[in-house]
Amino acid sequence: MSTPHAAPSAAESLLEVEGLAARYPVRRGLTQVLARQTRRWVHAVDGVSLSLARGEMVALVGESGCGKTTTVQTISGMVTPSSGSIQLDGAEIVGLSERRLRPLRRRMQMIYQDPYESLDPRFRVSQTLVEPMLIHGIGGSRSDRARLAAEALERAGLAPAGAFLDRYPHELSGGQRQRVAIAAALVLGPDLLLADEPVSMLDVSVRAGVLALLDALRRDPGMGILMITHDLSTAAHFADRIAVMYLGRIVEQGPAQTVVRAPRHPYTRALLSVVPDRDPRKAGTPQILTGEAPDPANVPSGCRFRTRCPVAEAQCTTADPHLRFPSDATDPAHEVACHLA
Amino acid sequence: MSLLECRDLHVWFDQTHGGQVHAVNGASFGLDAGQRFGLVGESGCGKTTTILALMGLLPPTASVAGEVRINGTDILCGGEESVRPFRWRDIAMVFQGAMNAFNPMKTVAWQIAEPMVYHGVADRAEARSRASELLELVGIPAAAGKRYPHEFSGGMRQRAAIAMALACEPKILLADEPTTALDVMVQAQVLELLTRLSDELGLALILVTHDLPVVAQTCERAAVMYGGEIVEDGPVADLYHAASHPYTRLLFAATPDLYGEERITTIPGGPPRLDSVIAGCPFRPRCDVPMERCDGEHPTLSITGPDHRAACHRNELQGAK
Amino acid sequence: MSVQISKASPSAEVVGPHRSGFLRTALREHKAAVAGLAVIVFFVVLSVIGPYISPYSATAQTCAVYAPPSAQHWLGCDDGGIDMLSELIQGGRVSLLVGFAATLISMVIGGGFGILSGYFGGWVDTSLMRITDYLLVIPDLVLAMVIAEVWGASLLHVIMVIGILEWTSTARIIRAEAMSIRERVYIKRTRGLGAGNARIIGRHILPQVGPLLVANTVLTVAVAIYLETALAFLGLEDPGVTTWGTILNNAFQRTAISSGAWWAIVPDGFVIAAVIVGCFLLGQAIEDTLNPRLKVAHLSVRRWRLRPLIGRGEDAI
Repeated sequence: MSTPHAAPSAAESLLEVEGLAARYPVRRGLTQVLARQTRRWVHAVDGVSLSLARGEMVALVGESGCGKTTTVQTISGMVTPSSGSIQLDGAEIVGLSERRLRPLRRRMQMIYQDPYESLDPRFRVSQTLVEPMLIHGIGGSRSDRARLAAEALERAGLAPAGAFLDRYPHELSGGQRQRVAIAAALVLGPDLLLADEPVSMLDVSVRAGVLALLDALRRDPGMGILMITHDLSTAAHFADRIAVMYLGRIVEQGPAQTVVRAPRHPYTRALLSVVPDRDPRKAGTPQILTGEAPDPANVPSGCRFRTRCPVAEAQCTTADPHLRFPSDATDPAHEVACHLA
Repeated sequence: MSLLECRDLHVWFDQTHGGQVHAVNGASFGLDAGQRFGLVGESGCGKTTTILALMGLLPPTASVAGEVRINGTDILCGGEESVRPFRWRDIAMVFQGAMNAFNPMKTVAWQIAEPMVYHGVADRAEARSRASELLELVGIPAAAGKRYPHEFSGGMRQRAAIAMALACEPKILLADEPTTALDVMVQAQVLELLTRLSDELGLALILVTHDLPVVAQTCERAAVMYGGEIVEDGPVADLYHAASHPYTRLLFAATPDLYGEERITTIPGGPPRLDSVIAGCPFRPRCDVPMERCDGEHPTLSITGPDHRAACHRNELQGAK
Repeated sequence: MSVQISKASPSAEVVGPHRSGFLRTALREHKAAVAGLAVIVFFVVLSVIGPYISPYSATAQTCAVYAPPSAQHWLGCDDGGIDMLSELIQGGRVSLLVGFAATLISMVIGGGFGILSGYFGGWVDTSLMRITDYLLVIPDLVLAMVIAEVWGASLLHVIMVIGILEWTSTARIIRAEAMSIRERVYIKRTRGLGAGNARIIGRHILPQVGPLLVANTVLTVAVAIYLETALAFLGLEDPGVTTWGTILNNAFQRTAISSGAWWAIVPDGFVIAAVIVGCFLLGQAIEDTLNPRLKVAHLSVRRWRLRPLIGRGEDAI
């Protein structure tokens, strides 16, 4: 694990993840333990590198089990990486003790998928908002904290704050709950928001509002937002860049519009082809991949996508492709991990 | 005579603290063999309640009025006794959340075979071989039927749930949010399966979902529900290109499109409370083009095009012009 | 993903499992809970004001041995010529004290073991639950007899013995609840905010398991009173103290049955049973209120009603 040395210039990224890996042990039965079978690992995240600048929104897309949630949990410090580095503003956070990590936690806040589960049902909105301040010792007095809570709530789009502060979560709609959860993150003044499927549990009619709020937050205070989503349409609309994950790796990343309109990886192409269009007359030809992604405890040799790849060749079984600029790249920021791109 | 005809269906739920919720308010639609029909709307608009009513699967707090006819026979008129012979044999359902539809202690094949034995369409041995056939039909190797539900992935479980619904060769299949918890690729696989089944077996399909693009690409016709009522129905292309109800238009505008350039919008406010009578148009508080009439007068479905109806006062205005 | 049933109840606002006011809900929805609470309150009040309303002394002879019930002595007298009613009131004071004090001990131990075990998991869970298991498998009464014998018969010992014996089931139930709460997203979110274990347990887990702990405690009171009676009946209690159990023991030892003095046994047995049933009714009602899943399993019982449409027929299209 490398330690950071020189402080990066201001123009450099807010979050820099390099070769991140996280693994879980596969559960062994008693007989396997007795037979001294070697411990096998699920490589949930297997060498992910990505960067995120202030004011940027990056979408992490992929099927469930591809490691996107583990990636975000590792960045937020809830899962310990097995290797790799995570730098926030140039400061390494991998390997820090819980005590040293605590002030950094304040700068990275997580938004969860299920707004019905992410708020304590016994807490009023005001208590939910004040709690993070109490944990981190923000706001001198009770009235200071109340003022900060009201401000955060209004920034999250619940105005006037007075109408919401005394309510319980069950008195709020899904969209309002998600805004409360965002406000509870905002009171700490974070630099980085990690949003795990922030709108997938919400009604279609309110999704745009919550996404527009995230969009506004990255512009105004200039937060960096890393958003997990399985909805490519949402990613295409709101993210600056898209990173496509498959089996613990990023297989393609680049500017959102480039990835969507000129995908280079066969997996990205397949994913895009199966996104249904809201216009019934624009029926595409979905390129449906059979089966599901292989077990991450048993990653195929060579290119990990080759078992489902429609264009795999002999070389794909032996050589593991790494992220690189395609030979005929039109966009320098566009990277693909495919031998044939 | 349609295969399935639902006329003026109403469902009320008693509330624990007194009063009633009018969950479905006069829903009417029809469906023929091989047709795919979408039922869309936000959560709490009555979609799921509507199809549970079609199956007679409502809790004791519910009361029902209206007609549901299968090949002309009213199945609801005699309560539970009159629905039972039709349930699963003529009309079957794929429940939301396929995990909960299975008993974790029994093998998948056993659970697919069980309704056949229960309904007397096959004996044990016959049912077992048919369960294998059904699994193959939905794209699961028959040998996998010997496994338990938890050994299946989400997509396989959803396929198995479809196989279970097909056990008694129903004519009508109701699917409640069949792809909501699934990834795009698995969603595409399941939708392709449902489309193939309705094409090949002539199955009439009702797809309940909040996901408009799924309906747009899978169904021929769809109904949009709001506040327990069908506010617009018609061919899906007309709903998208020539929406006659502002709610339909706004719902599509709130749905992001992969290549779309325009900003997606929200529909402010929330769905109406259904525990009291709504005097005017239920969508009035959230509508972007309300009129004075909408406050006091409840709009009813009127014809706005071939096979296309909507419940909005604006259509009458345009018709008069 | 929501459960089927919750989708089928389409009220405009989503009503989540809101647990505060659980006692009020339990009393409103279960008539039995009202009866149970009434019984408990009656005996508690009786115990508190007992010395002031007691017609005679509970220790001195005021009438003939085994005098049958009369206008002066409503419930008759015991073998020592002591008024039964006064003795029951006095015995109730002690029995309830033993019941509640022992329950308090078991609540603290059981709640603590359960929360720590469920929240931390791992080796904490393993070691705490191993201790619980050992106590759980030993027959209560036998162990209580042994301890009472070794420590000597005294009220304090009886309270401690019962308290130490009765917390195991509480610990198991609270542990399961704490484990499920630990996995909730809002606990993860709070941990992500940087909150320590003390805050998470104190502010999020304890308030959430609190109602369940109360429900369990009410049930434990019943068990504690029962166990106290049993110990006293077996003569393992300080004979100088009057409790419902020692009254039974006395009557039994001093040939009340062969003397036909039913009034020395039946009223006492009745009040013991009444308190135990009262606790069970209330405890069960609270548990039912806290566990709505028990109420939801109604898809299989399809008793929806048909209802005619009045004046709507012609509107149908």
